[in-house]
Amino acid sequence: MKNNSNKIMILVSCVLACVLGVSADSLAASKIKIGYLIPLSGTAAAPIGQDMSKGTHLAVKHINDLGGIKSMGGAQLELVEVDTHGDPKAGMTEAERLINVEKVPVIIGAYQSGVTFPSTAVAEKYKIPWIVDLAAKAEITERGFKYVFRPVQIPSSGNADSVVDFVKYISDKTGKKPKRLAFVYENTDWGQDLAKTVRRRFPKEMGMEIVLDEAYPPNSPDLKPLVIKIKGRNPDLISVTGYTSDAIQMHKLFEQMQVNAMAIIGSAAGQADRTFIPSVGMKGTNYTYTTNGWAGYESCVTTPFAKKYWDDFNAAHKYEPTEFTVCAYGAVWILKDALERAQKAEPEPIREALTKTSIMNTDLTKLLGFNVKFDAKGQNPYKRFAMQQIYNGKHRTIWPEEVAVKDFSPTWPVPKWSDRK
Amino acid sequence: MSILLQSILNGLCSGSIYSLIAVSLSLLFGVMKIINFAHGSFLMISMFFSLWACRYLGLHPLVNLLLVPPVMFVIGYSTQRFLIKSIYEKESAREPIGVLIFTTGLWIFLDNLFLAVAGPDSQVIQHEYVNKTLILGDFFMSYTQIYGFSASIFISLLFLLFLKKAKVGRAIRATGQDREAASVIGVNSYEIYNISFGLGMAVLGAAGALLVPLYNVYPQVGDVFGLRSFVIVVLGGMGSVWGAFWGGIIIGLIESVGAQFVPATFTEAIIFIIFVMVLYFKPAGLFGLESE
Repeated sequence: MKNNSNKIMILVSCVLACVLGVSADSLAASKIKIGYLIPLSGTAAAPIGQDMSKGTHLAVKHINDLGGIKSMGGAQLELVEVDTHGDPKAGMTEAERLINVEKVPVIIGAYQSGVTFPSTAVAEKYKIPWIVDLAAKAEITERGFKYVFRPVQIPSSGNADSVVDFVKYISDKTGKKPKRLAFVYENTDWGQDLAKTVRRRFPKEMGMEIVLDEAYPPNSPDLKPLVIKIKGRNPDLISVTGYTSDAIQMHKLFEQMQVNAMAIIGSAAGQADRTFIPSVGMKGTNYTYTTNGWAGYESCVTTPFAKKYWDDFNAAHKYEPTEFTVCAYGAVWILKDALERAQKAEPEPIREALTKTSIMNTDLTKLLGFNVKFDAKGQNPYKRFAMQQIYNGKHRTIWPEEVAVKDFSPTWPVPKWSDRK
Repeated sequence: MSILLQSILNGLCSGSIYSLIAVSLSLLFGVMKIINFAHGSFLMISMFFSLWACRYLGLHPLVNLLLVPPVMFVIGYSTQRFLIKSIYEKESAREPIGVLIFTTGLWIFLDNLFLAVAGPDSQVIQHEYVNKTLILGDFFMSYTQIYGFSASIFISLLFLLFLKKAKVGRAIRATGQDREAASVIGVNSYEIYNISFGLGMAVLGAAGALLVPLYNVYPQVGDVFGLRSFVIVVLGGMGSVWGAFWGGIIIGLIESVGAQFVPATFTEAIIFIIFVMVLYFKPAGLFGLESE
């Protein structure tokens, strides 16, 4: 008898548990699955992929903690993260799986252009909206696709556009216009891409004369011949597009050879690298201009929203966020904005909402440093590179005006080497 | 005109350091008939040693010239004695292909070892000597280049003199010319191999010490100079130490002066066109012996 009642008790509690479980489930907010493709291992790009993944996860956590998607009854975001290994084929099959098996209504990814380019075609086929996080290949938004959106990145030519726009701005402001242009760039797709824009726009829009237009092989054993050549052409403006090792060499030689120009401008790679200033030294880097994909702490971490992001990231990972983590973090918030307006976790309403995105002058845009909307191609026309000038060992953002730091004004033209202490 | 002069002098300075790297590679080939694919990695190691000596011991970059070569000698001697010798003995009857594969493995291993130990970043030494420049009118020479040139020429000549006059030097040459004949007259060829490898690495160590104030150091830096030194050795004549010396100077001049007339990317092409032409018209190299 005792035995029996025990059994009954167990049975009852089981039934109760089931009923309660089910009802608890149906009472709790529903979940919205988000596909996320990112290289986390097996490629040289993995360290940046891991950085970005941390930014993405933090955004999901922050959004969920603040009550999820309110228009859908506080629905929680759930990230379905997949490692692409930097492999385009893996990216395509995983996109297919996310769509058909996991039934995600939207995908974010996949950092690298090589993976993003073919994988977005899969999503387009199934009519699933895709938010491109960092891939810069121009053609990604040039295929007439309806489901591809690139809010936090522009094609690499946009980097050079910022150089030209800044030089126009500062020339007008100071009345000191450079006339002779020398530009050197590493002989890769990226270097050639930027050079194309520089070559086209400076002579046409500012009437500048090109005195040197030269590609150099990356990782040259000796860049001094090139620097001798630059010096010999006596340019007013020198644009340098190269990665860290070459940029360090070149700027050390600029100092040694006392190459004087109104300005030397880098392109968000070598001169923006954290090892650039310690390697070249304070004197050699002073007054160097460079573009940068993100305007930096001083300019962008000005609101409680940004501060929370910065502090939580720092606390969780013990290092400071970078351009990559900021872009990843921002991409999720841009999706959140669209989900609120879509009111349904389905591909069509989400796409519809994304096309109508208009995030102007909010906490989010202050963190990113630019507004967000999409043109007909799905590209955010507001994204641009900021211009910084290095002074006393720090990158100070000086352009565009809305993200410029308040306590610093750029030196244009820069002093001659012989006049510097 | 001053630009031309400037680029010629720069070519001589860079070329003299290329010479030093190539001379050591050529010695290994001339004596042991092995191609050391890990040559660039050993250069990278000597550059890191120089960097660390400056950074942690506070030494003047030129003091490294006395410090790094002996260390590299020991490393070279031990590599040959404990790692390469046993492979070499097994293959003494034929071309030492196993050694070739071994040095390739060593190259990959060392590059990745330093990636783990030193990290991927470009590093430079901080010393006031590094940025000192001699300025004469519109003519600029950094002291690092001037000293680098003088030291390279001095070391190369000293080394050539050693090979020509010293007893060990003559034994090295004898072994290179005919190992068996040298053994017959009492030369211990395996000991000579150990010493040769050690000496080659010591010369390479000197090159690394001179290069560090001029160039940044990172784990793959050996590839930048390693490939170039192979071109120089073939250009000068495989196994000819004197040929490697001139080969280095010639490549340095082509690179520096050539860049004033054609885009910098094309100087690489010029170097390889000359390389192919030399191989076609004078397969033994510019200074190599036609015999064999």
